[in-house]
Amino acid sequence: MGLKETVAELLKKAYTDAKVNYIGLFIKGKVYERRSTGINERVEKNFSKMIQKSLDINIAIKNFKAEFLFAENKSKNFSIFVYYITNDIAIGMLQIGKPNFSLLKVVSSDLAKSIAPLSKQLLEVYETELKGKEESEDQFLEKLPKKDTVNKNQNKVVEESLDTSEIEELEKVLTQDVKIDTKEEKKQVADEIQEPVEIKPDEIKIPDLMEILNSDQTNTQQNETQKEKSEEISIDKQPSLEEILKEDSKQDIKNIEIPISADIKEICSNVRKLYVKYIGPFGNFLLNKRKEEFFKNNPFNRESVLKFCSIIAEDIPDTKRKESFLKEVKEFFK
Amino acid sequence: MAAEYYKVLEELIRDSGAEGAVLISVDGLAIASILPASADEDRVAAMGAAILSLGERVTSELDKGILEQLYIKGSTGYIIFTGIKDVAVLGVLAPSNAKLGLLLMEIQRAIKKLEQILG
Repeated sequence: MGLKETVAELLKKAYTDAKVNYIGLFIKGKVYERRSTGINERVEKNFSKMIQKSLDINIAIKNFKAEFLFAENKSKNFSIFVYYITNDIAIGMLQIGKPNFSLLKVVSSDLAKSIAPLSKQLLEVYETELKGKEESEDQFLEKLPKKDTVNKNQNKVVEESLDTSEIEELEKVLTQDVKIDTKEEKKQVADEIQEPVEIKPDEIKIPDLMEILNSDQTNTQQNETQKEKSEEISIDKQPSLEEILKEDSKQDIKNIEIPISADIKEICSNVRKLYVKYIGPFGNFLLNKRKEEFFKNNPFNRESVLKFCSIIAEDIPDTKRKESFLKEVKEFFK
Repeated sequence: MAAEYYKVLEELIRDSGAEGAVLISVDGLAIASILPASADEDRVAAMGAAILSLGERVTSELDKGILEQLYIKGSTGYIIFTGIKDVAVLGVLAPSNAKLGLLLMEIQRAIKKLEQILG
């Protein structure tokens, strides 16, 4: 039986005795033989590095002579155990489950007794196999061609493997689906794709705030007119207030028989009250202002007061209310 | 700040009967140390941070949480490495006849103090 088989047998026995998930024999931090279940390569790599680093303890502390390493997680359901056979050779164990330190120690010390006589051979193996393997791996990595050269070589191989006739056929197939045939068209398309769309700052028309507001106003006006049209009350068709007043005043003046006894002052106070009712408290101020303006050049009589009423009626925004105001005013003159 | 670390390490050594203690940064450099002449401060610091980090990696790859403590037994004594959050590692050197229960309890007390100082 060779060295590897002997070690494998010993590890197998220890693996079943200790009930671990991983057991391995490490020479200077390199795995020589292992037995495991559910432990991947990456875990093993980190574990071997850990063992390699831990061997430094004998250099860091004089006469330390490391015997074992033990670690467990916070949940106490995983443990790491390393038993040092010599300064270079160690047994590494990983156990998932409740740690059993004593069992691990007993099993590994028994295993160490069996492996210790083989330590010389194992170190030789390291020199011949593991160290050489390590070096060859490094050399292989160094010798690996750079990415660019690999791609170039690959392209060369591909080019060589294809005949010129095959390339022509391939080109034909590739161009079959493309509808752009002429050179000019191709150029045009290429230009369109490549040329960035330039937008000059002068071309960008940002609407002015006033324009926006005006457009809104016109829109609202349009809407209002449409609304009014829909109500079959066309403002355009309706006579203007002045016209109404003129006509009305002419008619009224002609038709209404103004009583001689009617007190103008009383009429005026009634008009004021009515005006305030239609306009609001602001009506008083507005009426006084209009009164001053109007009666500067006009005499104070029934006709002028009636005319004055038609003028102040202009300040009532709603046409219907304006008409009703004038109707009520006429009542005062009766 | 360094004086506070030294104070905690001194108290730990005095109360637990340890031979020495070292506070190590996660990158393996000694922040503060009280070690015997036989120990190489730089090597102990570098090795301690490295093996604890690798052990934690093994534990996390197996989805087993965090590695709490790691100790190495030598013919002359123990060296115990304990992680302090993710910022530092405390290494304690104890003789082989040290009372492990008391030592581990004092280590936990020292770690709490160091956690407060380190923030």
